[in-house]
Amino acid sequence: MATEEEKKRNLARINAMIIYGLEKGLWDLLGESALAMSALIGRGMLEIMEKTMGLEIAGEEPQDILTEIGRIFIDEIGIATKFEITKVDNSVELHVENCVLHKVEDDLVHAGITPFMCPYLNIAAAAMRQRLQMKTRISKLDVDIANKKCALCFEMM
Amino acid sequence: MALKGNLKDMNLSDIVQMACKSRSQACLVVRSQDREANLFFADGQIVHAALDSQEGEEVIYELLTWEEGAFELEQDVPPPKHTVTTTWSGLILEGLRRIDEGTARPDQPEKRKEMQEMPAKKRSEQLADALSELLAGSSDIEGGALVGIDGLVLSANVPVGKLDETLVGAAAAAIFGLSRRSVEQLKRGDFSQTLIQGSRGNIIVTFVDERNVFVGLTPADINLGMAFVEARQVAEKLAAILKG
Repeated sequence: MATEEEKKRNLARINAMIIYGLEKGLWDLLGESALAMSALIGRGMLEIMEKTMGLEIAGEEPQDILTEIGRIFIDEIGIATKFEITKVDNSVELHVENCVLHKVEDDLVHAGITPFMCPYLNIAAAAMRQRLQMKTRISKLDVDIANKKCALCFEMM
Repeated sequence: MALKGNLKDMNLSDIVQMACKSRSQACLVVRSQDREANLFFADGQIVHAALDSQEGEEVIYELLTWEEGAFELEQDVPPPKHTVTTTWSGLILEGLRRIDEGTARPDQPEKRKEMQEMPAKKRSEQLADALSELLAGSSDIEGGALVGIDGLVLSANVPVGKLDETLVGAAAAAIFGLSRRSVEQLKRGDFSQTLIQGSRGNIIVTFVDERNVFVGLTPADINLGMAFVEARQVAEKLAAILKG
């Protein structure tokens, strides 16, 4: 019989397995076009966050929105320990540390799949479209497994 | 017999499309806030437009901004004069482009001046201009969009009212992804084009380059062979702009 701690870990593994399976299946079916679902997936996530969890994402600049998303994920949900934003010209870069989805993202990258189901990525893309009417494109997604760090870059179109 | 209604329920581009397709002589009267606009149709085109003291194509661009107004389409009314020469699809596309840019109404001169004084155009503006021009010159393709394989709509010019760009872009990218995967798995060479047929028209998805596709919209009753050729020509021109 598994302990409560083991059950929690197993639950996290099952969630990671579902994410991996979904992303791999969709990638096999659609190829790189699977990335087109990022903002749509984010739209659904944003809806749940705002309607069910009562967490509102607002801001007048991309970095305001991304900062708010980071704050919610770290302070309210606790799925990562650090979240930083750097704005350079027409792009905004997000640095996330110790994300609970880090391992599954790394597995996907190693399988040749660009992860497109990442809560920061999806919600940020959807929020920037819905709140700021701003289109974005992911220009970089680096996963550093050894240091448990992840970097995402949004290019403003 | 007259067709009556309100622009709240049926938008002007749909009425124009319907009147032009019937190819008969007709007059469309639209009344809103004590103003009356008249559009005259003959031989499948808009041939005359009048609003207050204004006549010609600018009237149509302004009329496209009206969201509300009672209309009446009366058949067999001959045009009193000819003040419009652009094709109906070209007028709609240009009108929608102006709405996007906020320059469709004559009461926005500052915006128009500002647009004219803008320096070098951004790539997105160049694409929008090119798409509008290419579609205006096409006889079979009435609207289209350039979509990235990540679902980003780089430019769109479609006569179907307001779009959910996120959904349309994702759907176009998914059609491209599925088509390319099918062609690849069934050993049909490289992906070139996909046709989707609906009861009111067709959607042609054409390869532009490794990162983008052109989504063309056509009416239902067209020569598909010609539409395929035109879609490929538009795609080649867009590819050249993207490369340049």
